[in-house]
Amino acid sequence: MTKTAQPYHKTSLEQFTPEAQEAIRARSLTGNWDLNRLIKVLGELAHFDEVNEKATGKALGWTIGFFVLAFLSIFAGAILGEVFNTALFWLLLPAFIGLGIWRLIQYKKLKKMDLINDFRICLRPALKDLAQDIDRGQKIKVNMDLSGPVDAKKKSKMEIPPGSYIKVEETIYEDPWCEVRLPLVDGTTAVVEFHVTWHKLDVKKRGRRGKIKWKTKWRKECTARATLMPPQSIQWKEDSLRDRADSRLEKVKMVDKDGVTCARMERYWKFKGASDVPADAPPSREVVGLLLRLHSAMVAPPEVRS
Amino acid sequence: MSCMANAGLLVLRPCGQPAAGGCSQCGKPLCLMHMAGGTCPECMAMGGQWEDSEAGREAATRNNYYNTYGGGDEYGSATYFSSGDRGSMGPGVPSFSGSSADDYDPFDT
Repeated sequence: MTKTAQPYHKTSLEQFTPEAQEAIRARSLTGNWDLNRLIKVLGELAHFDEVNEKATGKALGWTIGFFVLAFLSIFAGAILGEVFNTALFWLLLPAFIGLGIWRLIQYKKLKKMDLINDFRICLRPALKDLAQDIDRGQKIKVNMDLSGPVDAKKKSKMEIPPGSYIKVEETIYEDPWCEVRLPLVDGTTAVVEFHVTWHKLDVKKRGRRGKIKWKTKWRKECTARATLMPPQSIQWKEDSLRDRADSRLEKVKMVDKDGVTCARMERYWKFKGASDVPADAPPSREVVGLLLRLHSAMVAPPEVRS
Repeated sequence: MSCMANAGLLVLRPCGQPAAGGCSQCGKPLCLMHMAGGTCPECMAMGGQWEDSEAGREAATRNNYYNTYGGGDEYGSATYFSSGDRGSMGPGVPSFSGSSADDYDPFDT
């Protein structure tokens, strides 16, 4: 059951386990984990991210509100100053500007702590669905970068043909944010990798009244790649696997790892966002669906280890 | 006899714990944990009564995945029978009861 996100303030990071605190500060999670511990820490991170997102939205709302009030206080200062014959109302203007700047700084700070949503929308539910298939005696190897589209991941920034706009500038971020290696009870290793390509489009356009406007649009292209590595060479029902793949969105490939033939499936998703990065992520069901089809394509799967 | 309630999603297998009774609907042998709801998780999921039981929820999730993606093992596929099942069907294996006619005692209760 999902807990309702509770309000928190700066010091309340202490409510989380040390591992979760470390992951929030570093905006990454790596190492070898027990399944239960990993699900718990991801749960804490999910809770933090939900609350942080709400607080970010609230801070932005207040920032806009205070700057609007600052603008209105110019008229208020002039009118009320005339009526009551005092200059005191002019103090409203710097007061609202000050409050607006304070909230803007708060907004920027919260935004810097924002985590990519995919781990809570996609990865954690998928791990819960696969819990019974994971060998509890072994560790899950995790390498996650939760920071989303940051400058370090910027791949290119260039102008593209503007079409009906005045100017369009595209910034591309490459974000291979996650790799998890799941040891299954039959000795097979399931490797799931997620890659996101973020496209940020800064569009310069002319409004209806001829005013020049800037607008930002985001596009998020996600790829999930699931590879099943059996403990020893086995045969695969390759044709059946290819038949069961959705050829518009999925690819099937047989790969060789240390002399063992492994099967790989890749699926692609695309999401759009208006002024902010898209909050959507691949549905966990569709990622588990890749593993399910891969596993059922083994001609004779390995026996379950006792 | 061991519990025949299914476990897993990718690696579908019987629970394997010692059976303590049977499902009131299908008669499948069940362990204490899987007998908590009276019926096996699969019957719970089929009857839509899975919400109160963790095992029932897992069975319903599994059905849902299998309905969408196939998977699990279907009759006719190489993995439908476990190694135990295959062993019991091989040549020279004693009959189901494991006893011959001479062992029969009508007064044995």
